[in-house]
Amino acid sequence: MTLLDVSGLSTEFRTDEGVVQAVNDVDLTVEAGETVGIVGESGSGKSVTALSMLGLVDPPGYVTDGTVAFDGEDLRQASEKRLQEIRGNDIGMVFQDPMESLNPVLTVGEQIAEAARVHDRFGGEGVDWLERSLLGNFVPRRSARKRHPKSWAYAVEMMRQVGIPEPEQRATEYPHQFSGGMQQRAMIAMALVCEPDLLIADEPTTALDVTIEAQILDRLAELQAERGMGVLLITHDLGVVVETCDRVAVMYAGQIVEQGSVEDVFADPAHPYTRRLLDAIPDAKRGEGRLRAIEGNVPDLVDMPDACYFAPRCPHAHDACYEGVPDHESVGPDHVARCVLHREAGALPWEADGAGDTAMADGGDGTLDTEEGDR
Amino acid sequence: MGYGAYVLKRVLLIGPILFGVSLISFGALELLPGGPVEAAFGTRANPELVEQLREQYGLNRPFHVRYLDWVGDIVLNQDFGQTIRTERDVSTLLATSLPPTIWLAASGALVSVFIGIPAGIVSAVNHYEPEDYLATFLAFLGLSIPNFFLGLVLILVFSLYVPIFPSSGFVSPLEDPVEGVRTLVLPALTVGTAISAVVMRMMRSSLLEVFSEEYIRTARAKGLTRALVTNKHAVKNALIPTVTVVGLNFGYLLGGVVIVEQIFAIPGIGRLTLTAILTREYRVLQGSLLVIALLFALVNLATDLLYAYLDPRIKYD
Amino acid sequence: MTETDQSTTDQTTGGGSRPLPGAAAAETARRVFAESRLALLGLVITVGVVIVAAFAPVIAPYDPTAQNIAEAQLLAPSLEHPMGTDQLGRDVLSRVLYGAQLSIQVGVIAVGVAMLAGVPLGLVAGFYGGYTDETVMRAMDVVFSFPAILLAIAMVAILGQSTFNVMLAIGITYTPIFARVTRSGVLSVREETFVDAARAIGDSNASILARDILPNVVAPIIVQATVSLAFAILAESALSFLGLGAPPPAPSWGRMLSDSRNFMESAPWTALFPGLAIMVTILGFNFLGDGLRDTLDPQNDTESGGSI
Repeated sequence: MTLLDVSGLSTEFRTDEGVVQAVNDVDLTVEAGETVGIVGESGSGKSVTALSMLGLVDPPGYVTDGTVAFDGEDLRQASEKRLQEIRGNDIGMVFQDPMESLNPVLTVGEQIAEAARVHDRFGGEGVDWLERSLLGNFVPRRSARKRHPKSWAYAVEMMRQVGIPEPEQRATEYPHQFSGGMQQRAMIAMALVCEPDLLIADEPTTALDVTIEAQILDRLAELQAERGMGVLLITHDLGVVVETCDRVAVMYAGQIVEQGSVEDVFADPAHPYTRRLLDAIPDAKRGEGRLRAIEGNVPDLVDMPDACYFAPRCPHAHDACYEGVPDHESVGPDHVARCVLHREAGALPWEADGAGDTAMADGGDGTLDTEEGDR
Repeated sequence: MGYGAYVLKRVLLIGPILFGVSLISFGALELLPGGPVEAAFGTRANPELVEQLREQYGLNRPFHVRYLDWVGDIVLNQDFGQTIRTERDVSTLLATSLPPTIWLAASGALVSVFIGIPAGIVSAVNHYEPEDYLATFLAFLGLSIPNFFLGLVLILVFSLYVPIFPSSGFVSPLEDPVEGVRTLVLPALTVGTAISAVVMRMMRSSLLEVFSEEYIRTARAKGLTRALVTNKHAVKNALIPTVTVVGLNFGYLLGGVVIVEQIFAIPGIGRLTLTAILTREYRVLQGSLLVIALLFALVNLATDLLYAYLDPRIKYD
Repeated sequence: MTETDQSTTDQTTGGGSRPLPGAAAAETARRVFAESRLALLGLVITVGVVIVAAFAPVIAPYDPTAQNIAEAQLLAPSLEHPMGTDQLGRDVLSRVLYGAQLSIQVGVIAVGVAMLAGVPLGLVAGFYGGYTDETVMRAMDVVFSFPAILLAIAMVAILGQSTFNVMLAIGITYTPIFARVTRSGVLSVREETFVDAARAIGDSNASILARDILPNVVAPIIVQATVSLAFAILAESALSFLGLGAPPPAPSWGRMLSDSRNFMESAPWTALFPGLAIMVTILGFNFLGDGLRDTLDPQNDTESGGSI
């Protein structure tokens, strides 16, 4: 059975300026043991997609459509209570900025152990009424280590496994005493404590140095292999996708515009947006002088037209592109793209051109998002 | 430096502050028109008697001599002087007036915390819904109702119409717990209500801020129930600026204490100071202002220490 | 001297032109009351109180100081005396209405005094900075560090009991707040380019202060004035309650409350109506001030404004 099968997921944000369609008819699958990447610029809707799957989107955001089948169960139909059982337990999530994503007033050990305790991994060490209540903030209690020793020990062990040195000492410390890399490792530990079947990692290494990033991704891959986990990796870094993912989905303006195996998509990108992205990566091998930017701006997602969203910026746009939102067209076995070009007869513009806009056949390390500058 | 060293450093800093206050309170009172003796006895006083008293109290000596004399007496002998009219020991007066005020101020602060914090939480969790509007409106009401009016109304309802609590007097809870608490209830409510409004609004706004933080999203993604996320993860962070608000509003609290001591006839420092001002008992006034300043400094200190204790990110230098 | 023609320039954009006070104020007022229902409610209440204060002599059915011990002592509310009478036979309603006059008067003048003293101090401290700034602000801090009510009490005790001294005392107590608010307003505007422009064309410091900086500082000062007015009225009532306010037989709400203490159980209306009057007035000003603050001065969320 497919671990995760998302179909037609749509999420909107109702703002004063209008309704922003942040996620638009998204289809995705992740199999056990597989790593699927979602790649796109900031604002393309990648993070919102992940949050929508887990029911973590708050008003003014609303998930309006679609099914999210996890192990056969539709999460959108699940009660909040059921979702709480699944979150952290069957599906783990790692977020982008570890300094902001860890609670500053609780020790790291407490936060990791909590994940185990909330899902009752060790009998008798669950959350009691005092902890759940307001009073718990004022009543001094024995340290976490003494109150729930098994969970604590397990948390320490997890910290060791993700590569945090001296975990016994570190567990008693607070997040601000950790470096960025270690904070992220702690977050991963926290997500893996209950041995989830699926791990969703939202830009897990964006805030980190390149060397740390490499270490973390490696460790993540090891852990995944050990546990047979499925991983949904959200990132704007094409290099990371090439290094770690089996399959990839490209997002633009809330839609998946191309999806397939990493080899297929990177060797032979089928959607003009993907092609331009790969083009925009500076590559020493190509030896060309100038970077190729994509003209125009990302649309603002309010009142989107009933046409291909990328058309205004697409060098191959023509009348057919404006006749409605393009469906996923099959480009190969398990490779689809939302582009009318694949419905039409004749050669594709880039094939006709010959070496027109070449794609990356081997890995690169460019990034799509220019906000943080080039790496 | 560690927490302990930080505490010590802050305690030592109180000295200079007290020095400044003593100088001001001693000096300012020398501005009393005519001089303390005349002011105490009014214009009816016999000029010869006045002059005699001035000599007796050493009021004709230069300022710095008088000041040092006063400070010296306090530091070395714990002697704050005598009252002019009745020649009673000021230090005794101060010593007996301090405990009721401390009990009142502390219980007022407690009331404000016990009302304000839950109200703020309810408001934030249900924000923009009816509970929020109700709580916010009540907070406005609490801020707007003059504490002397509130005191009178409370006396009217809970003391006269439905005699549950006494309308005046003070009994130390240390001597008689039940009676002590009973006498404190109405005064504490009167003092604490306005502050609880401030606390509630602070709690509400800082909790709303915390709710939009990333670590709350992490907590939810771990599968924590909403109650646990709110009470354990969010509140703890929002408490930090909120409890300091209580400390910051201590001036407000103390002002309220002055009036409440009048209404409920509690023999505290507030009432003592008020009487001293009205009867021009300058020695009493100088002493009580010093004590009040000390109280202020200690409360500020406690607030800072509490803040440092609650927030593990604070560095102690 | 030419002025640019952007007559209602948004005062918060840096490098803009000198704003024309009149037009900008009207525009801002309109915006505030359109956005905040709270401010609107506050305005309604406040204006109501002011009207009552102004027309008290016309509306009040009786002379507020007319005693009638023989016949009309402590009468319960009735058609003839809608709020009852007090222990000296005086009509409570009339006294409450005249009390509005007294409260508003004292409040406005007290805040006026505070602004008159505090705003220039704040302007000078903020504009010149350095030593001047330090000195002024330390002085303000000293005043600020005492409980306001004690300070006011002390001043009235020293100066003597009279309505004027009460206004003065309260005014002095609130001076530091205005100094502080003005100073931070000045600090935030001081570096704007139009100030530099004025300097470049040779305007004197005084002229710059008056024409460029002051109009931009007006908004937070107005917010503070509204909030402080509420507390000033509260302070006046408190002082009167303690016996230090306007001397009898002036109909002060606070004094009415303290007089009523002996008769509270048998004649609660003597306490209830003056107390409610104070409360409603303060509530109105608080709503107004809060609504104004939300719209005009959003970054100021401290609970400043004095104390009781």
